[in-house]
Amino acid sequence: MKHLLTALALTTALTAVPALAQAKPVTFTTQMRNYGGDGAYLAFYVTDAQGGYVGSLWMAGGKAKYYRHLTGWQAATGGDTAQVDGITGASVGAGRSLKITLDLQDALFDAGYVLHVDAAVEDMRESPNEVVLPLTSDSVGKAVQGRSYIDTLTVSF
Amino acid sequence: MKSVLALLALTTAITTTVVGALSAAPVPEVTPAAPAAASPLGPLVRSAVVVSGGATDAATAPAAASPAAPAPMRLAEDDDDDEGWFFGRRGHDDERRGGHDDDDDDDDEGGRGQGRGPAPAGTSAPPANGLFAPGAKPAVQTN
Repeated sequence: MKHLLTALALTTALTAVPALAQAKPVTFTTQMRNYGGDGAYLAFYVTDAQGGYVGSLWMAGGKAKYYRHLTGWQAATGGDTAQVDGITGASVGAGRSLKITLDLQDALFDAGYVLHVDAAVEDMRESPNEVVLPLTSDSVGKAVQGRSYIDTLTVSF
Repeated sequence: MKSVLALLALTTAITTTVVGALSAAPVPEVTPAAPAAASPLGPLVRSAVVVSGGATDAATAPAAASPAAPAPMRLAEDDDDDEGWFFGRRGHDDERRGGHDDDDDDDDEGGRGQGRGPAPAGTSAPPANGLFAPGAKPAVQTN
């Protein structure tokens, strides 16, 4: 009976290990263009295959009153700042780079999820969907160009 | 002569009565004159704009009381100031305040229905949105 319980415990532990391993650090490297303006607010968020909002990954820029200019994120969240609690940092200056490393669930890749980055800069045009990047294994390691303010965005493991 | 005096007295009496009646009559008609009744609408319209704001008020209010039209215009301006420093607004608030930098206006965030600012990275856990591994802490680097 003891052996049986031990075997059961071992099996359970082995089963649980993959669950713990189902996350890995993912790095998002964003290189900004020299757009000639002040620091950019950037909202990184994920939608599912149907375009429904799933959650936010990062918010660059700490003042909630400007989030309305990140129009895609604002529409998806209603400006709910709780969505970016603990994942908010400073805005990113022109020509600078932002490197964010997050422990993300493996299930986020190759399952139809899409990364969106909205951008807004003082005195300049809002840029919802500055970058739209399907989260697939193929997209990893490849630099994607932004529309206005982001030169390149690269996702890497 | 007596009849003349009597006639004069009668005429005076009739004139007084008629004129008195006529002068008394318009009083109640003048009291509800339009301007006096319309002026309270001004403040009412302004209040409505203050509460709800935006273009909808501009569309509904002016027809009711045109004298109140300038008020929504001003309020709309004020509302625009709330836009902050994006998109051509930079310096607008600051100029009025003698060059005060808008970056210091953190207090504004709580009073405009936007709620509090988010917790900065490192001060609380990421949201439980199913994207992050439990207990994950983001690392960020800017160059």
